Amino acid sequence: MMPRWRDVLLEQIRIVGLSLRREALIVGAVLGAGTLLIVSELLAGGPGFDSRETFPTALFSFLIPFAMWRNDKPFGPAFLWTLPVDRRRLALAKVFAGGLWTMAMVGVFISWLFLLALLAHAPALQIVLRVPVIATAATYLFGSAMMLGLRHPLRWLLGAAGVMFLLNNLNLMEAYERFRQPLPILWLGLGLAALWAAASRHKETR
Amino acid sequence: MTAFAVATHGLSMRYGKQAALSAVDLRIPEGAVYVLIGANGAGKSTMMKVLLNLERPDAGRAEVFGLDTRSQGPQVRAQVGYMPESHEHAYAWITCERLIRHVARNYPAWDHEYAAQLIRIFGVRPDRKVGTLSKGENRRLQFILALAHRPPLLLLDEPTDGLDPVVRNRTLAHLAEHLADTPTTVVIATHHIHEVESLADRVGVLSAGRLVAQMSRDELRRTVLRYRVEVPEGWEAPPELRIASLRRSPGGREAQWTLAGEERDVTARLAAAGATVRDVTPLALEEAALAFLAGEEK
Amino acid sequence: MLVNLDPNDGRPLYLQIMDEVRRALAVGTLRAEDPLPSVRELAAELVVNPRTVSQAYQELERAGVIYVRRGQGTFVSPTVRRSAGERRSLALAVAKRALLEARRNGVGVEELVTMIQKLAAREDE
Repeated sequence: MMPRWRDVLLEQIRIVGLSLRREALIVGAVLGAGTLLIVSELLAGGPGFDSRETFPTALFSFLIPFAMWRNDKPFGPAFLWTLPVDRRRLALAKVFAGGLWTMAMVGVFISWLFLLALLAHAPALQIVLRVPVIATAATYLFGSAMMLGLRHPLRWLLGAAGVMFLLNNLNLMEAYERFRQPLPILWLGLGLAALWAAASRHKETR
Repeated sequence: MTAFAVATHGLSMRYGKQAALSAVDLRIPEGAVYVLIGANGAGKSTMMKVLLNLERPDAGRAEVFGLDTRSQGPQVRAQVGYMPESHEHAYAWITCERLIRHVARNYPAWDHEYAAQLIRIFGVRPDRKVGTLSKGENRRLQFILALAHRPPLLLLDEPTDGLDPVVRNRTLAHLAEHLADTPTTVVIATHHIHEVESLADRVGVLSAGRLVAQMSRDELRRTVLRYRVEVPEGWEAPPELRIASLRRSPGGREAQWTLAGEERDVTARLAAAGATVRDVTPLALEEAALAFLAGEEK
Repeated sequence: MLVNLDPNDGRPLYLQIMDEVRRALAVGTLRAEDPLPSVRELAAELVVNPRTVSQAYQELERAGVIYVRRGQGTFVSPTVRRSAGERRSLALAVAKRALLEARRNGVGVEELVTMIQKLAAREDE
């Protein structure tokens, strides 16, 4: 007897939520600390908010897949693969579940930011609109694609970090930023494509 | 003609230079308790993983209840209860109870009452986090997870490993009860051969990846025997009569072998070679298996 | 009824189980209409595939030694008694084992019989 797809998906959402508890606690701690910092600055008479602040939500969502797949590595006899569900579909279900929770955490962050900005009499909407939501979703997809598609994702990650370091030192960061900025929607599409290709590595066929 | 629960055809798998499986033709009839014997690293675990499509073989194919393991993996896994050899768990932060519920939701055939009963029998504490369990508790939990959906096929990889002696016996005794309640085919990979002595219906011996013996326990009992013979001084055993190391008394006039074949034929062959048979003794499963494994080392 | 299986016995397990039942009958620990352990119980006790126990029980039923009462379990046949035939086959099995041991140790038949009689006489004293 095969489980119903709906039950499998719901259960993945629940279990991934449970397994990301630690990450959620970290977010909570960061927000708590952030609140303390901003409030103390406000009380001291300072502005509290920098009008050109950027928010590293995309980096956060990029790292989440590494936490999700660290203990159940896709290349190997993972517990996930012992379940009576097609592997590609199950991988995508887990990624979807993780994405849901990641964006939920980003949502919490945005709400917190908005409230705090109101408190600081800063332009709340303007500040909140600077959070790169689509890019955040895109990097989550790329991170997931890396974990699913690469046997040694950490090596690739270190390699990418090395490239970034090089770009920085060669003063090419501006060029990189220009390359990266436009059309976050395009990056979202590429992320989905990369994810599909990565998940297909785990397809079960002859 | 019994249907086969498991049938493999020329299954081969290498890890680098090592052959974990080498052209293996496994045949496990439905309802049998099949004990897979082999030295560590002999491919027993690999075999089970191939059946679940957790590993892809280099050559050959496998069928579980007639389903191809590569193209019908999910359907195969829905009918299998798997107890892996390792005790690490992917979800270390959740409680045992939560893990059981997680697995239960993926197997519609889950028997919740039976799972609760097993938790009591094996003393698993439901509110303990999975990552804090001892090796023994972890393995008991895995045993429960494999049995609770009453699958038609159980793949148990070293089921008694990591368990203390009392629990080992309880586990195997419970397996017998489980079989009485649910028609099941069981495959046990183990190197604790003496424990499964009486439970085994069929035996398969893996040596360096090759299936060097596969037969019913009754046939093994009947045809793999120890012969003690009296031989004249300076006598040499003919090459075809060797499957295991020959034991020879200091004077050289008494020799002891484990040989395979019908007793009448073997006695005749020994007599023809100039040896007089003093006595013939049957062997415990472990000794018979060792004979096959040692014989291969030549 | 206590059943023990000998791993060094070359016979199929179901036969060993049948012989243990017969032994209990011959010795008197099992009597007519006594209940037998269920297949499930005996399989768990011996750590044996229940199909083997079933096979043993079926053969014993066929031989008229035991019978099944619907919904109540398996019982020893009312017609079974400590028959001379059962005792004879037990004596035969014991004698076979003794003879095997004797041959293995180079002890002759006559010598064996004499020794047995001597020991038995000593025990009666």
